[in-house]
Amino acid sequence: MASSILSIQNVKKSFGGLDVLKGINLEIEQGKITGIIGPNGAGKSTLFDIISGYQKANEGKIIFEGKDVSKLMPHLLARQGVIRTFQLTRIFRNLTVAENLLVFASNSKNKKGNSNERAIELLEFVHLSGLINAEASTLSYGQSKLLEFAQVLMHSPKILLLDEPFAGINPGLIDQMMEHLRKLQSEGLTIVLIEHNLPMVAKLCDSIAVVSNGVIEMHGAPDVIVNDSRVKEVFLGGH
Amino acid sequence: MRMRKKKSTSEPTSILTIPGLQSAGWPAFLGIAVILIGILAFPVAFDIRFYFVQVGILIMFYATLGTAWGIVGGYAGQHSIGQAAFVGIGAYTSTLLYMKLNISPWIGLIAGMLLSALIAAVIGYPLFRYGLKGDYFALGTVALGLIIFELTTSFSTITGGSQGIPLKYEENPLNFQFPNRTVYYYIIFIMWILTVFTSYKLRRSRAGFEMLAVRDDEIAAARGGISVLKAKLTAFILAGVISSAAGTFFAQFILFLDPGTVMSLGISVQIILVAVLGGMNSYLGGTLGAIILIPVSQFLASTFTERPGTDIALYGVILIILMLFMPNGILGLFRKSPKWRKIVGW
Amino acid sequence: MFASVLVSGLVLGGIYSLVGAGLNLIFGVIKIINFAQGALLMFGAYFSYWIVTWLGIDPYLTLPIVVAGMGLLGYLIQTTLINPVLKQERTSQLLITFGISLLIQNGALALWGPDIRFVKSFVGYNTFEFLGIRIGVSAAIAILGASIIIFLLFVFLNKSKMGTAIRAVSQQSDSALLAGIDVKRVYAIAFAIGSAMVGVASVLMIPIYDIYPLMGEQFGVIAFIVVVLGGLGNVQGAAIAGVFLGVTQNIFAVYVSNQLSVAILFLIFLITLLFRPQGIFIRKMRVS
Repeated sequence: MASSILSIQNVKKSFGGLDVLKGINLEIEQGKITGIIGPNGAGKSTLFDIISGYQKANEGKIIFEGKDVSKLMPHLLARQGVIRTFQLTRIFRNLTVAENLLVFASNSKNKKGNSNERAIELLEFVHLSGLINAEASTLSYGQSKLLEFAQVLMHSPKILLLDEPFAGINPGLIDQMMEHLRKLQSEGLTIVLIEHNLPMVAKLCDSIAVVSNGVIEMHGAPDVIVNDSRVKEVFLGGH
Repeated sequence: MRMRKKKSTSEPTSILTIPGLQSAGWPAFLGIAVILIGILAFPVAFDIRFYFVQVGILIMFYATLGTAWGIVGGYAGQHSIGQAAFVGIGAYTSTLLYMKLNISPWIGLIAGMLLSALIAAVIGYPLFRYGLKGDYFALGTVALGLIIFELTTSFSTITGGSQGIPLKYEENPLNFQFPNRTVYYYIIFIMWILTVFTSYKLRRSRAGFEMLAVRDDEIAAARGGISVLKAKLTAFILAGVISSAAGTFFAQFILFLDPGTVMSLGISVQIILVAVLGGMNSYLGGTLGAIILIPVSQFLASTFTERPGTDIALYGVILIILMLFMPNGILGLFRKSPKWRKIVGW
Repeated sequence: MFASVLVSGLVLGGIYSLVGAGLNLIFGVIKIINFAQGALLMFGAYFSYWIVTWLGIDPYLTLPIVVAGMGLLGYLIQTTLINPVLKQERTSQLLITFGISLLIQNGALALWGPDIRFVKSFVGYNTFEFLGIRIGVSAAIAILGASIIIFLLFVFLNKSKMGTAIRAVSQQSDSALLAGIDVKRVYAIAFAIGSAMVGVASVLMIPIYDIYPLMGEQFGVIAFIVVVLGGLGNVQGAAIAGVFLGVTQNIFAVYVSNQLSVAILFLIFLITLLFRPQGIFIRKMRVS
């Protein structure tokens, strides 16, 4: 029986008069890669915000590893192993690339291995080793996204929420990143991924959830979702 | 968590060290030693007029305050506009305890620091808790500074109001008073060195790192597991405590206390200017700023005595020009160079 | 007796509302704290004073000149000093307006000395009776003037094209930029309006209050209290908050202690900052 590591229960969120999330119910299976797709403005990033503690839902609960974490501050959730990236990449611009990674060296309860070595390993993986002492503000868009990717992996997270992680990265590196994600998955990491590129999502994910009109319209295996006529209609066949 | 320090070699692992003076090598250490000996010898070396020693004391006083400001304003990115409030709290606490209850100002020093820590915590906690834009914090410190100023002026039966309090002169080292005024020079020297050292160590520590991250991007820091509240509060309290100690020192040095001398907006301005001019992100910034600014301010004060306000008006101009063209201060000019960053700790 | 305390409280409140609304506009649109707001008030007062002294006209007649001058000054400050640093870290913006306030305030002190000056208007100290209360004519003009200007501001922001642009920029400057709005120009206009309002306040107040270099300090800080109390970007809130603070301060000054009357405002400020920083009038926001 698959166990659910993250349980989103009837989450509702509105801003001003606008109801963005009207009752999201989603179970995220442990050790699987789940994709979240949906039209722009459907509330996907908001959902991530709520899961990671940056916003509080008006109604509903977030259960992580059996504990109710709905009210936790973001940094406490991070320490529990819930790590996310942002749609607009966030790195520490005035610190060097190396320092950016070291900041995240040991605040998780899940620390494995030596931080220096881990950082070097990750930097090599994202091809940023040469820029180790460069100020992060000098990085290109693609490079900062990669840096952020490396940062979140420093943590040894239990669940990774990635918000459009592949946007702006060259395809060769995307493949490598996907492979790395699968490798981490085989080591027990759970991944939730927001992406717009339907074929990519179908290739990578074990299941896909479709967010539309503030609810989960569908949640199932990739080939089912991808071939569904409504999804096709909404996405016009993907990109 | 200890970071492993490695000597500078060409191995990749060595690069992941935090900026430190070690990388500057032994010439730097020699240079520092020479400078420090020079400073120590200064008052006694050449039969110098005490006026110059006094300027030296003022420089180190503001260097201490500027460095402390750098911790909260530079490292943590929280711009405390009303920092003089803590100077005043330290000065008045020790003085009142001394004058009213005959408690030694040495103990008053500690008392002032504790009180400042408490006030910083009480004010800081709500201001930081809700993750408000840092501007609210700046406003909060302005309000704090003004409230403390007003309260001190109003409760004149206790505090002497705007007339101030002259301190009892007892020439007793146990009461933080020394017949040989040069001793004050050495006391502020110690305070200054301790402060710079604290800032240096902080920059290289996990706590310091977290402050920098919070400064750069709170949201990213939070998702990395850093408690934004704790980082900001720690910086604020630390800066307040140091400023308080300096305040006590100052009261004992000039043996007279009134709100305008220790807690006016003018003092806050000088502190900020000293920190910003030198470079608020470096542990050396406050010191450099003080070395440059204090002699200038002495000059301005003595030149424009018929036109009060000229000096502060000029500070305003300097501040504007700095912000337009050199917002990172003097030490920030070379911050692109990794070697410079290592030494100066940008 | 209480009535006259109330009236002078309303005058004070009117000034606070004008200065505060201007500050609120600047804060809401450009997202900076204008530390120089109080200094600008003082500058407007001296500006008017010098025109009265040189041209011999009535202070109230200086209104158009002062408003135009202050608006221009505000426009210039924004374009030359603040727009350049907008891309930098927030410190620069904070400290630059702080530097401007130091310059203006102490420049005035250095140039014109600390002596208190005053002007007399054609209405002098005349009073009239209204509903059985004796009100000074200048007080009535001040209250009326402040109300009209606040009302005009409200209309401008909500009904005019530029006003809508201003509101768009204050809410979401990125989208406004995409919609083709020249954001920097809107900033400059917002600052100009903020300064012009302060100009109006200064003309309204000088027939009643003394003029001296540090007069702006108190008003500048209290303007922040108005902004925080009334809620960011909330013009009506600022107006109400300003009046509330003015009346409270005056009542406190007369019935409790003059010295502490300003301290009580700061206390209100601190308490608001600590416990309800979004202001009294904005519905509680969820903060992240």
